[in-house]
Amino acid sequence: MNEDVLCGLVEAVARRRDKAAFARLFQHFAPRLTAFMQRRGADPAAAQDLAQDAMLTVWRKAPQFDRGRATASAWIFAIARNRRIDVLRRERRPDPEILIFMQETNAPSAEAEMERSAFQSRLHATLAQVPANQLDILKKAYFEDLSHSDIAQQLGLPLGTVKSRIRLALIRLRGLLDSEDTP
Amino acid sequence: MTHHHVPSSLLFDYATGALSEGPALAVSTHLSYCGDCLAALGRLEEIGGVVLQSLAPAAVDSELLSRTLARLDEQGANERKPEPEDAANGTLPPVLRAHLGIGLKDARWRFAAPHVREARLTLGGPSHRASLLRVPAGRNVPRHTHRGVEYTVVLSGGFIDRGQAYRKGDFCAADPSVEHRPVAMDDAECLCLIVLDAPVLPMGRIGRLIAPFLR
Repeated sequence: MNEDVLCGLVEAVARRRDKAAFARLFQHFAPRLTAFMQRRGADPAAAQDLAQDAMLTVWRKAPQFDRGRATASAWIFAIARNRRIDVLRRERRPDPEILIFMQETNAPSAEAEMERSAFQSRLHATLAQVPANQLDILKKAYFEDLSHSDIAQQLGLPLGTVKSRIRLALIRLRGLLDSEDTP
Repeated sequence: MTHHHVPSSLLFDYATGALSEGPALAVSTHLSYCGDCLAALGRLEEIGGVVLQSLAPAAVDSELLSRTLARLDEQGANERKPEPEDAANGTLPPVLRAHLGIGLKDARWRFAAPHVREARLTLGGPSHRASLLRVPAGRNVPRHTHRGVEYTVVLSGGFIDRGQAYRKGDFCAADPSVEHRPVAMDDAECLCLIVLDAPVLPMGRIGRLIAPFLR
């Protein structure tokens, strides 16, 4: 299913509390969320519970979804990431919408205004071009929520190497880094 | 407009979920002021979305969908609701208000150093310490260095540190290689969020005197 269809399903849930649309989202995402939670260390039963929990959060939070700010898959990724932290680490992470506060003084960059789904389809295409040694580390970070230093330790690589591989991968995925690294 | 941003590796660890609660609070506070970093986070979460989509689907119980559908009606929906107006806490971004518990005005401000007052914030775990720090206009935090990493986000006013000006929303990270003596700007009191993973190490005569208070 492409992002426009997925976004439309989330919007149908938001506007009409459409259970059929929710069921389609569930059939697409629940098996992926279960895989995601398993990669992050949950056993199969716990992973399904977390996936269900994330999908119930999707149902509740659908009215806050805004396709100008995120695609459906990025929005659901952020929900799953936060739910996992809430449940397994018992720490709170802010909901994305609570971060909107005083940013209006910043001039919106051209990139911020770029249409989300166009950006995402470019990402899909570019991901295939990222060299394997960079992509492996990138996926490790996203799947297993390991920090730069956790990854360095696990792979027995210097921290600088991990930082530069992630950095190169992100640059390849098109100039994602705006600010220079500080020590 | 913010000028000092979250380092990109820290923003990445925030996006993947690896960052622990204290540093994540400092990052989300900066994001509350900085449209550029919020947009950069959005792009990192788009990568998360692509990565999620690229996963091979795992097997799920055949009745998981029906069990989930049966629970929808008890869920309700979170409508978009504006933050309740709160004059006393209006200067604080919503991400911080939840950690303060009581209002900014009624927070328990205690001595941290001469002229400097601190109010502790509550975090879920013990690995970091988060506080609000108030420094009167023109006054300074005693010279110190760090045993770990210190994250600072300006909430109002501003300070000068090592020749750089930090104003509302700006982010500053200092590690054991940094010895500094930040000074509040002359025109207003400076209110900051401070997140530490280890106590600071005071330097000099005043520093040694107040060391017991900084634990």
